[in-house]
Amino acid sequence: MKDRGLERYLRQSLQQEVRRSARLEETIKLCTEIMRVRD
Amino acid sequence: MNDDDLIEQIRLGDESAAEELIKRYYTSILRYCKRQCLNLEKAEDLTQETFLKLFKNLSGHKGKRKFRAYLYTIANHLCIDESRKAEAYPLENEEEIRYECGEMRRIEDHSEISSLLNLLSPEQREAVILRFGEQLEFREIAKVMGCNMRTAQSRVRNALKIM
Repeated sequence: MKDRGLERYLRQSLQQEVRRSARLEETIKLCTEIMRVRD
Repeated sequence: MNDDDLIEQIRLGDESAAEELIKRYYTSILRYCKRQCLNLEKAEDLTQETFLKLFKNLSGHKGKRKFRAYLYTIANHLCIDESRKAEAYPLENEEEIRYECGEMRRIEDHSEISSLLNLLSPEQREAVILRFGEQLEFREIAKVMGCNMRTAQSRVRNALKIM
C-alpha cells in the first residue's frame, strides 16, 4: 500500500467506534463522588 | 471550552465540567484499552480506572502538559500493569479462557487491520494505534510511551514501511 493510502486506511480502521458503554454514567458518578470527598 | 479550562473548573468543584470532560474522552480511552487487552469487559474496567485515577490525582496534571497525553499515559500504565498481572497470575479456568481468547483472536485475525498490526513490534504497534487511531501528535506519543519524539516518529515510520 502507498503511504497516503495506508495512513488513510489506518485512520479509518483504528478509529472505528466502540459501542457506547453503560459504564459511562457509572464512571461520571464515581468521579463526581471523588470531587465531593476532596472538597 | 478546552481541556485545561475544564480541568480548572473541575478543580473549582464544577461537576458539569467533570461530566463534559469524561464524555469527551470516554469512548476514545475505551477503544484504546480494548485494542490493548482485546476484552471489552476488561477494557471497560480499565477505562473506568483511568478516569478514577485522573480525578484522584488531578494535581498531577500541570497546565503546561497536554492533558490528552497525560490521560493516555494513565491508561497506558494501567494496561501494562494489567497485562503483567495476567502473566503473573494465570486464571483458574485457564483452558476455558485460552479457548475464549483464541476465539477472539481468530475473529480479530479475520480483519486486515489486525493482520497488519500483528506484523509490528509491540512498540511500533502502540505508536501506530496512538498516531492513527487516537490521532495523537508525536510529542504526545513520546510522552505516553516514555521515549523522545524522534523515537516515536521512527517507530511510526518504520511501522509504515513494514506494512
